[in-house]
Amino acid sequence: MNPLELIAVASKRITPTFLNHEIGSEIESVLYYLIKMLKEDYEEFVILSFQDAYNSILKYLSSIYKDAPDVFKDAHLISINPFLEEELKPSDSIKTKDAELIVGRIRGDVRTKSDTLFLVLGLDLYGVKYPQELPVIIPAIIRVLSGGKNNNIIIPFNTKIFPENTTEMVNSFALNLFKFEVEATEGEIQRKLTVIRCPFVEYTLKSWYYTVTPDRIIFLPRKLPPVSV
Amino acid sequence: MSKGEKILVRAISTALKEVAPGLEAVLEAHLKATMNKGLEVAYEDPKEFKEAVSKLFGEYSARLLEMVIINKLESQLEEREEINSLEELVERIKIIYGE
Repeated sequence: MNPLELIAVASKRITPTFLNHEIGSEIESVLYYLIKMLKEDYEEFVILSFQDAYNSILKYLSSIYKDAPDVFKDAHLISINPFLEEELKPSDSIKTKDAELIVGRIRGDVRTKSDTLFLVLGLDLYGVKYPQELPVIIPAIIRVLSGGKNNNIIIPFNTKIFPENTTEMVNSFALNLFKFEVEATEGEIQRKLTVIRCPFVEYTLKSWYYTVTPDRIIFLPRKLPPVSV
Repeated sequence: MSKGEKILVRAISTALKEVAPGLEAVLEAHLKATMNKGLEVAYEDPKEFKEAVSKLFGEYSARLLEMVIINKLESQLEEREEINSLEELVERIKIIYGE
């Protein structure tokens, strides 16, 4: 199974799926391909975007992939603390730092949704700004979004920017956990995906190096030839 | 280098070491190659710096790095109003240090 297919299939089997990533890991492209694969299998597609995360990701993806706006166009967008994202006309716009208020509003928005693909963006941005709210919002959001039947929750999260105890707390809520790392040496970078936890135990701790091209993500079991940046 | 510039460059360097170890050299090489400048471009032209980071690591990572930098300096500057962008941060530093 291709690692991207593995993530897609695992996320359909159990949820939530956390994609731990680092700066430079091209997580945007991973999300693009993943959403493209998964979207059609669900009745609805909902994006929860904290601190303009969706705006940033869509802008970047649209500069690389012509069809990026089409991939995300039918999404029901809920923006939390938007600064630039208002122009995308979100279905709901929540402006507060209070985790409980945010989750209350989200609960009202998604209460009856089932057979829905949820993409939660920018929780890490929110966590940098309001670190004390992170331990409250993560379990609460997962609880609310898991309420409906056959929902799939995908959460990319940059753990590198937080202390280890925060990372451990976040990872403890992940039923599927995939790690996207960057290895940098003397001006060269290599990207690496490792399966930390998923229902297909034969893949646990298996790693691939990967590179992103305009057509696909290429995964290889060993390091790629060095590319200067 | 002015005092405000020094403070910002130090904060960026610390943020990079913490959140993207190993990538500081990559970013510096990229800034040097594309603008013939170093991290100080963030103080001279924060928008241009953000665009350069975004080209290299993606828009989302650029935003993440921006927020970590703001977070590092916000408490130091004892600002009461929320700072939402690197441009705002530079503006405040310039006011504080009269630059």
